[in-house]
Amino acid sequence: MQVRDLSMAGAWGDSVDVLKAIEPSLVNCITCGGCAAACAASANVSVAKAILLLRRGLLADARAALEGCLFCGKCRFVCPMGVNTRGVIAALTFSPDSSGNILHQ
Amino acid sequence: MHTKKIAVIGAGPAGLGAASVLSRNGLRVSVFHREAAAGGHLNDWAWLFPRFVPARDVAVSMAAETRQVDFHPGCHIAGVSRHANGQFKIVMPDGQTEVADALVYAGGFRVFDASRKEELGYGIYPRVVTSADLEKMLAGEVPFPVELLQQQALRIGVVHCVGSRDEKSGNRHCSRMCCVTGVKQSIELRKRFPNSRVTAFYMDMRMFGNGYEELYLEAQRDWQVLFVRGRVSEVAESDEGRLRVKAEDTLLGRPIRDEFDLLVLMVGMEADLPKWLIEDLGVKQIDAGFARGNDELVASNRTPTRGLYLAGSCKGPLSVAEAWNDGQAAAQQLLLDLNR
Repeated sequence: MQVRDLSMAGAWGDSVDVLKAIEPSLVNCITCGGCAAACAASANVSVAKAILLLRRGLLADARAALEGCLFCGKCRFVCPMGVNTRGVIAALTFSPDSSGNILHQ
Repeated sequence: MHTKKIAVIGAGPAGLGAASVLSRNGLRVSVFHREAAAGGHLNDWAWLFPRFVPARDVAVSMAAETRQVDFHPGCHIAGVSRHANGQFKIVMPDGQTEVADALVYAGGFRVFDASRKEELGYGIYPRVVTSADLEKMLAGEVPFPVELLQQQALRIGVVHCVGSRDEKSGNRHCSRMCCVTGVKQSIELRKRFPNSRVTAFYMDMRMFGNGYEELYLEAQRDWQVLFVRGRVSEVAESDEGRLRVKAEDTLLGRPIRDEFDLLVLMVGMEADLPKWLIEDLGVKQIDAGFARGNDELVASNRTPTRGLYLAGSCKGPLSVAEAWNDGQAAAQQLLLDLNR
């Protein structure tokens, strides 16, 4: 497996700051995985994993972890930390990054 | 009955807690302490979790709770024996002896020597420091490595469980306090160096006390501390003098490699019992080497030896407040037995 350099330039950096401004509850995620367990769409969709990847600065991977999401909101219902998971998904999928680009192509 | 004389060995939080209760109940109390000043490890710490209270203020207010006691500073006890009449004979370093009717042992713990974990580079690379070293830097007693102050984008790594939950260093136990210490120090580093990024490597974060979980969330939310689940396997120095760290990001299942300007090792707490306590006074030990009371639930301060009580972190890792309360509990137990 490829050894990855963990760059703090990205981790908790630009992308998190931008997304945090759109959906502040994002920072409360403790990556318990309740959202993934509750997901009705697919076994591969996980908001927790997306946030975890985002914190490591892996934006593309974070978006990939949400592919297939139906926006049903079950994950928001189970979240113990009150994270607005739908807001996080929307922010991650449709928001501009710090350079003004739309993240989602 | 209140002319009885009680010896307290150790003047950290537990010893002071015991001495405060005993002295306020009219007993004659002698306190033996190996350091010059009362307070124990409080004197080595700058601020305490979870509310950043100055440690020395706490030591002073604990000492102020005691009434007339015969304080023997700089007195590292050479040995203690128990007479057939139940009295304890305490041998001081100069060979002089003192006799007591009962004894509270509150000798505390030892901070893990991080140089025993060679792969982490402590004692080899000057930018690898321990949590205890960092407290002295935060207190201004020891300077930070000079280059750090000039650095613009400072990278700081925090390594949890150094010398704890580690069979290889002979410590299977969890030291309990280092998790929240790491969180506290991460916040302090972010305040001290606003341009810094702090990454903490952990195995589990155990936030058992009031306010600890809140502090853990605050570190992430307000101070952007990044917690990576995985144990650091290796530290090396790069050509530029930075610290190259290898670890596994176990939540992502990926190996990672990172560079830091400063690495802070969260050193654990080890048993530090004198030989005479075990061999001459018959105190038993738990697997981790700490002293064992009669049981863990209702008689943890009592020992099979009549008149001998255990207090504080000689029994296992405790917080300052827990050690203080445990010292007071040991003294109360002693008073109950005296009045029986």
